Amino acid sequence: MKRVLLLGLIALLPCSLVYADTDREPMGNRCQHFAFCRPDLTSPQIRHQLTVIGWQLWLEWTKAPTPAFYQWPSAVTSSTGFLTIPQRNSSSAQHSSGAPLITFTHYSQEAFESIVPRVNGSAELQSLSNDELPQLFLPANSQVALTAWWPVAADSITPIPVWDSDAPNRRESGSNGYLHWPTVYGVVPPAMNTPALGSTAEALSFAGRRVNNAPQQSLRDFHYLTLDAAQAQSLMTSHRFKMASQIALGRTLRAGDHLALVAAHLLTNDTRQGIWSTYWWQPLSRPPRHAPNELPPPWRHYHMDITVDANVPKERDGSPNICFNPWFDGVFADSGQGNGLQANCVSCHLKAATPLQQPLHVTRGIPALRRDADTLYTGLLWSVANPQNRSLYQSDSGRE
Amino acid sequence: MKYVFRKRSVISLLQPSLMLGLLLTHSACAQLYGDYLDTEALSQRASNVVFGTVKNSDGDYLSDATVVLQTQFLDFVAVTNENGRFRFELPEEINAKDLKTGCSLPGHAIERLIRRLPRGGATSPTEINCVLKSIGTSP
Repeated sequence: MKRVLLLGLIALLPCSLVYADTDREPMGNRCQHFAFCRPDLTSPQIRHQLTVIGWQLWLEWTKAPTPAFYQWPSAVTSSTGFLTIPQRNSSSAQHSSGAPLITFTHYSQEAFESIVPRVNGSAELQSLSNDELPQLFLPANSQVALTAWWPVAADSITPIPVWDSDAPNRRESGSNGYLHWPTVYGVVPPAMNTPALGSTAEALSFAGRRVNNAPQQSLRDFHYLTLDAAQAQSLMTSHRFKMASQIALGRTLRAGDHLALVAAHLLTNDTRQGIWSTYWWQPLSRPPRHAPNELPPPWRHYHMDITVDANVPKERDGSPNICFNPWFDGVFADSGQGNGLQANCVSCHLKAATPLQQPLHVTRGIPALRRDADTLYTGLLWSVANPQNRSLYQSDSGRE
Repeated sequence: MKYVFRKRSVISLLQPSLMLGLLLTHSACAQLYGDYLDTEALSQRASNVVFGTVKNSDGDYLSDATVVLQTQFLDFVAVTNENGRFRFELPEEINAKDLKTGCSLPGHAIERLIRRLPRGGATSPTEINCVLKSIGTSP
């Protein structure tokens, strides 16, 4: 028992105290933020240590009055805020397989300043193909986030799918994107009366079906935004965002509608391959495990998973580490090494490179990486590898 | 296109169900993570078309309705355009007989669903027409 307590305390100490040889780290002073420069990933306590770190990050990220990323520059930002997206060529495709979502990538100031010069001069884009494995090229303690948002109508109850890991229709090899989730809640906007605990909505229409007695949940139980006309209009220039809105609302977004935060990936550059923590909304009937009490109300609804390595800590069956977010990973079908339920952030992001190499295949452990002169690894960031994003960085840098 | 063809040549050696998963995973997440694949170019291939309409009980076409096609492994989704029409271009390996279909629009419930499979030995196109009845106010 004493040993467990001691290890818990060690995990919270400044890195320099715990890891006296930090200066010998090849990547410099990356361990300022958390005591995690050289974690012993084989330690029996590693899962607990990671859990503590994941919740610390969430606490820090969600500090009042607004989450940290609201002040960050972004690849999809302009002076009017991160909700504004640049005009892109809309796809002519009418349908989608999987589950379209409204997502944004956010970069902390340090991360943004590091990425833009690299992307603007492709010759300068750091090639890591000669290294043992790709490494993050972000500055120490910088952060990158991916957020996902669900449209909520201003004046009526909006259906929202809720992940249930025990759902009877769970596909063990197929896709488990949100269209397939059997549990649907009704989100009640602030303009309507706050629902009584345990109340249910009338039948809701969602994803090709009718859902009877959907539990009601106040929008105030989510972190959310309210859109003005310009923001709604701007978002609807994206084919993907428009489709996500039509699926949720049966129409496009308009002024007064809301966006509810349903999921977030957070990459913190404290280690060679980063700390990858991921969060998703759940009703409080399924409270998150080990969440700190000091989390303010809407943020207590978010569950967490975290990883720092493609392999360890191993799963109970001895297989490589899994780090899963239902909104981001559930959609992946099995392509030979398991479906999205077996995903791991590091395993996936190690493949981030241009030209793209199997970006959507779930891999277990360290993936087979292409090693040729044409392959340019992008520091574990798919957002940099994605050729469609290049113009965004370039146009943004011109404006900033 | 070159990228897509290379994938297809590799996966053609694999199990049919696995191949299906590979193909569909690509197109699925292209939407989720920002259109990695050129969907416009993909649509030029010979494909497995499912098309149709969504109307109300009075025969009026309904826009912004959701149509979901479900296989054993995957879900496809489309929304109707301003003319109440939708169109899927599915991988050829999918048999229309195996698809489960659903249609929805807030404030409506399904009244009738008519599916017309390809004639003879053809695999495409499949026509699906949904009729939704109004049951309340929509947002």
